Amino acid sequence: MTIHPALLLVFTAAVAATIRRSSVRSVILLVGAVTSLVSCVGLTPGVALSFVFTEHRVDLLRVDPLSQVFGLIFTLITVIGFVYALHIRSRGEQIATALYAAGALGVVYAGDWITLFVSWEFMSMTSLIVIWSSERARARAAGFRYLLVHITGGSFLFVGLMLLSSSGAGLGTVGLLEPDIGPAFWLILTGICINAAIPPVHAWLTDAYPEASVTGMVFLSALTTKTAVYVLIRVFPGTEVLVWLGATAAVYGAFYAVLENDIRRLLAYHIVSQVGFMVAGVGMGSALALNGAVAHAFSHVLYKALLIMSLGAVIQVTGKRKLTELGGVGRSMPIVIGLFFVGAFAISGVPLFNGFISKSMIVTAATELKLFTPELLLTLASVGTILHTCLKLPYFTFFGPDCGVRSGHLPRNMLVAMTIAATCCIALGLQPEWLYNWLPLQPVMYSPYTSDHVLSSVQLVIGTGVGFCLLFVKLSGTPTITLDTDQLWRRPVWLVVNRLTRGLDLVRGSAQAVGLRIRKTVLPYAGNPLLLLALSGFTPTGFDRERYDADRYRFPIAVTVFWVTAALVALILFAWIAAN
Amino acid sequence: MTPRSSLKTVVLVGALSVFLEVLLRHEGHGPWWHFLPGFDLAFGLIGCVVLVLVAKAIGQTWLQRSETDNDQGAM
Repeated sequence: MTIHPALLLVFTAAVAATIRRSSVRSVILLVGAVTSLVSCVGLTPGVALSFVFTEHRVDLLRVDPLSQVFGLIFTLITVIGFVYALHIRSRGEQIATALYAAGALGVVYAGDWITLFVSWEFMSMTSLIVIWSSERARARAAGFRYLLVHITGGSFLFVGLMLLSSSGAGLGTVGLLEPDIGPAFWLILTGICINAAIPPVHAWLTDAYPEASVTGMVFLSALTTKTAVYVLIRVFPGTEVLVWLGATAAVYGAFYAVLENDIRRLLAYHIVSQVGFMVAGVGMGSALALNGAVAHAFSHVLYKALLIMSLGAVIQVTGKRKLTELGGVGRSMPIVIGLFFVGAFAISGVPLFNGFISKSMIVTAATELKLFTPELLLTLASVGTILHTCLKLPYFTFFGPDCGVRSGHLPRNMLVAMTIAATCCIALGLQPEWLYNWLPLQPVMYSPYTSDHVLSSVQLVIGTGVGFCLLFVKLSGTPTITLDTDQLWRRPVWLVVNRLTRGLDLVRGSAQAVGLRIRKTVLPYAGNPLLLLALSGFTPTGFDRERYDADRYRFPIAVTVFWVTAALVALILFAWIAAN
Repeated sequence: MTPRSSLKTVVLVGALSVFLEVLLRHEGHGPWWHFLPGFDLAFGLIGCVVLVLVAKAIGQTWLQRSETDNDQGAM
């Protein structure tokens, strides 16, 4: 029997929601995630769950090599994430994360556009709850901005799908779209690109993700952008503009990471940068590039989660997240340092780690396609990645001058989760075939461990290391914030909202004034109904304009009882006569 | 390991990698810089310097603000 991995997560979330004890909830959700992973591995290609809804065929579960590999990594990271989050107590965050992962799986296995769109929006809403679960004022504000951007992205996607439907193409199978279908192509592409956080529509990510909880950011970093990459691979392979957008994003993220003082925002900029590699690979469109994009998404989910978990551990035990406030904390966290470096080497493309076997595929594909400028841009982004994750972050966080912050207790489950992720990063780096055998376009004619690739990576690391030594002083954190593209819309939107609320306030004020006037006019007549008679010139005996005695004009109660009884008797008599 | 000895080790490994690159050079397709020994070493160094200096220059001029700057007047 085939069970949708997303439905398993929804079911366990529903069960967990009824449990009072947080530890039991955590275990139930972990069991649900493991079951979902097992179910995902056991899926066979084909359409398993579908039904017809108002003449539209809804394919809830379509399995092919592409959805299989993304389903595998999404369920695997959900398991790792729930191990990392075993100690948390927030019911809302626990349930929202499970539903968020279910939404991402819903997109991956969606066979038709309607299922994809519904899962897409479900994922956006549940990820918003994950952000808000950190319960800080900054998270609330960032969450509202996140909501605004994702509503915009969803609207682009929705309008694009409506146009696609009206063009006669229908909303059937989610598959390749060509630019000649008109505006629908570009609207759908824009909607997906917003979720993929491609500059200039990326700032929601670096704004909102760092404000989520330590555990929530692990899921956020893994799911939303990679779901968008999945849709880009399925629908827009070979779209040339993506090569340039991706290569620019890769450098843009590395550029902004230089300026960042907040370690979580720095990692968020590296998500933008690494997603840029994948997007560029999608735009290249060759078999090697597309396999590279899939492989890099797979690797990225693992090593980025590991980096976020390692720095999350630092935040968990120190309560600090800025480079200017950290330094020297590594002395009390040797295991965390070791695990962090596995993630750092992996993201930097150092041989023997999983980033090397995937990133090099995309760069090699660019060379094969003679896309030399994008190739150089991607290599420059690699330099930035090495600089920040292998050198700047660890030095100023773990080894730098001791700033006196002392670490507290680190829950053991966090270390276990990091160890699982690190093991995956090393295992795939040592045995690339384990990943290559899952890639959608077989056979994979690529070998990462050639002398060229290895020497090139080693030289990049060494060259960057020397550069770091030379510019060491300039790279230390400064207590600043960095403005990004969201500043272009945040003030105008605030002004518009402000004007609109002012206008509404004016209407409310006027309505209130009118209401008060009516009340002032009507109230005397409600207090003294005889005034109405007085208006028509009739003044009953004892009429007093200032004082109204209700008892004086009220019928005696006996008269009321008499007439009610008479009416009842008349009714019974009428019924009896009618019946005979 | 002192910073000085670390730098010596790094330079030594870099030199060894260039030597191996010359030794294992093969003919293939690609732009000229792919066949230039030590290109990636130089690219790493120059790329790092350019990235940092340009980012710092642009950042300090236009992008960086004090942490105490609040978001008043913006959403």
